[in-house]
Amino acid sequence: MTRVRLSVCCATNDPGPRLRALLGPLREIADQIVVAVDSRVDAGRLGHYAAIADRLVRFEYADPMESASAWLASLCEGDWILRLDGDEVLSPALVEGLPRLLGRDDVHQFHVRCRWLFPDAGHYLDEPPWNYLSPRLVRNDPATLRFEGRLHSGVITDGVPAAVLLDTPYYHLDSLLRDEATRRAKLKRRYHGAEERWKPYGSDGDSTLYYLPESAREPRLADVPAGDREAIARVLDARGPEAPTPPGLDVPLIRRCEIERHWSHRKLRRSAYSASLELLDRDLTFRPGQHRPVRLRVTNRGDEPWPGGSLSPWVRIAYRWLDETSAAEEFRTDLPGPVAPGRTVVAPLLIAAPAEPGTHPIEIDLVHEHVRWFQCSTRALIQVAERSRPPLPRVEARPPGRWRSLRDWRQHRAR
Amino acid sequence: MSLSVCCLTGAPARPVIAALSPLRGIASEIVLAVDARVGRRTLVEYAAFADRVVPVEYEPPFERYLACLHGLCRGDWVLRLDADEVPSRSLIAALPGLVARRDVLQYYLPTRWVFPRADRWLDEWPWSPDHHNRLVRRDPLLWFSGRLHSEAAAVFPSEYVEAPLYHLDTVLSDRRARLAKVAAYQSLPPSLRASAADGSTEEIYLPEDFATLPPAEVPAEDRDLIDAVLRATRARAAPRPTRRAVPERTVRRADVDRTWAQRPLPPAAYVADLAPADAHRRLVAGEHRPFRVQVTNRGAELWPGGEREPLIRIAYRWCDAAGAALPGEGFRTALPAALGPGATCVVSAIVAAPATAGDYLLELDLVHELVRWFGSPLRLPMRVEAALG
Repeated sequence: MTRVRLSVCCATNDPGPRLRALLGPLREIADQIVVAVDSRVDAGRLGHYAAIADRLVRFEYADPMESASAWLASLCEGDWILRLDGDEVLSPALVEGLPRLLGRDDVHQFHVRCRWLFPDAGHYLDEPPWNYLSPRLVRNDPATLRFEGRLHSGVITDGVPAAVLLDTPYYHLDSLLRDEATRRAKLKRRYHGAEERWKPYGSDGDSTLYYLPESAREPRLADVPAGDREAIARVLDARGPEAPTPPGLDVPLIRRCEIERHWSHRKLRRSAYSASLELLDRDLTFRPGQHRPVRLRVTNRGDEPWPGGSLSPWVRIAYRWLDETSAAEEFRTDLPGPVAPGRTVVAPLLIAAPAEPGTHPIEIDLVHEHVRWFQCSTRALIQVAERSRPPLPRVEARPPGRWRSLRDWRQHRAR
Repeated sequence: MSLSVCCLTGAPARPVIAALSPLRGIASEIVLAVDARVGRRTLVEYAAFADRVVPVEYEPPFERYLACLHGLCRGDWVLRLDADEVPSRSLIAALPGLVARRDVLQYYLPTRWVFPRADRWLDEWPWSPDHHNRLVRRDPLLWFSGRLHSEAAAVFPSEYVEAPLYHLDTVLSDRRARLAKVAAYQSLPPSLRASAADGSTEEIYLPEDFATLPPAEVPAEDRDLIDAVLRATRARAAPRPTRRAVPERTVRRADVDRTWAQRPLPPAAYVADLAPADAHRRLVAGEHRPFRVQVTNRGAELWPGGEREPLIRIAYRWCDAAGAALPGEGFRTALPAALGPGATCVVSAIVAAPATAGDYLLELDLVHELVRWFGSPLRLPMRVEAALG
């Protein structure tokens, strides 16, 4: 039986001693620890990070930090990925339970309870918006692991089988590690400076509370269990000077362009908008008003992957009628799956035929929703005509597959 | 990546074996669920060919057996063929590459309806395009609705393959048999019918009446595969079994139905415990929040979770402090994953707080959509505070 492997990953600019302390308990369990250090950290002082990481890289930082999530996951080689930030501590019970969780084959994600410590290391905020669940332990499966890429977003959870871990939380130390003024500045930079395309859905009222629990009306507090307090204290007490980068250690600096290649809200280059389209069906005759698919062969001739479905960048197939008299609906069709540069796929394009019989010219193109058309269209003539329907002879109903013997079956199949 | 090939069949063994034989070198296992009425001799013929032969008590609809059939497979991927289908050479060649992909969960295979003879197929609507979701990755997302003409429920990401399957029904069955099939499909209760395909059932099975274009030619490379199956239907003598094999014990219909999404649930299924998983008891007026509820399945049936049938979800409503229900129902939230008998999960039920501040009771219960409530509600006092200016 193949052993299930775990990658732990962390993108950080937090002090090396603390990072080493919070990742330390995972060393025996993780098959791979990936640390990506923010390029603002001194490249000559990466000794603590190097001591704990199996794979150490530096990366060019830019807001939002969620833009690096998919890239960070791409560095992981395990069957499962556990992501941890540099200001978080796993409860010992969660660490201890990891091997058992990795053995489950009925879910793709584990949603872990977050506990925000406030106002001290012995208490946490036990109500919304701080007691949320975060999909931190996820199956490293290219077919199901996807990242929203918006501010304060993580792995996409919709429709993915998941289990919730309530009693084995992780602790968020932000309000202990940073004073109120620093958190207020972070809020301003992260939210008020955010571009529309990566802002989170909904109001930012929660964000203010997240960062500034001091502004809450009598927030509900709960005691941190004694066993968890020790783990938290070990991380908070991990101070000291940074260590020099070991001589000869090559720590590559990953450029922004490489990171954004994985980010769903990146701006696509003009060279991405190149495709060829080809209708495969010879029968393009519809009944008036009929809705049915035709097969379209789509080749990505650009240099960016299209993720398919309704994932961003949202590339879809669209069509329009070229005769002005046609008032038929015009559907858009999602790509059924991802299309890498150079790849060709077949997509069933749903067409709604006009109600008027006759020949109707149609133009089919790709569209990057809310951004632009590809302008690589193909055209065809759709025939709309009534089809005759001969009356059915009366027959005796017999449920399919109910033959009593092989002889019966042969008669059933007799030509 | 390993591949299971499976087939639910009630047909004589030889044509099915002829159709599946070209897959022998690619499949890690061939699994057959065989209508137990075919008799011992046919079962033994199948058992001499397949890796696993499981007799089943058969009762329509055919789709009742899909979840059970896939549950018998152990490969990473499952390719299902019907007893009257033949894979093309291009599909056989493509299979290793398809199952090696990690970024796709399902492949739709185009079916070519062979008609009016073995070297022609119907290249027009409604026979083409006719894609079927037949090559699927075994994964927690794999699910079957069990409705008529349904297959594995579609999940993203998928891919449409150009290499075809050939469907021989329209050359194997005479017109009378096909008419009977149409009538049989139409006699099934509406709840079992597929949502959209039934309108064209007559056309599909009666191409001699409805086809308007000349059929296309079957490529030369595929003709011998089809001919081999047709020859096998006419063969009199059974080939000598290449190995001794014994079919497994017959699977009873009751056991099959435990995996069928359309089964009626017994009253004993509707037993659950609900407990609060969040400690807080206050919300802000008008806000939408997840409230976590611990749900334990105390019944004897699996609840599949998500939007799968039997569709069991958590629902809520608000009551005033005295316990009188307020008008309207709230959102409904699906279970996050399948929940077996005795198992517990946590559901993040999305709750919309009342618009007016005050003291309320939040009442949560499970519902089997369109069937019944579980009737074991959890009632929690909840303080709703006015929103800040």
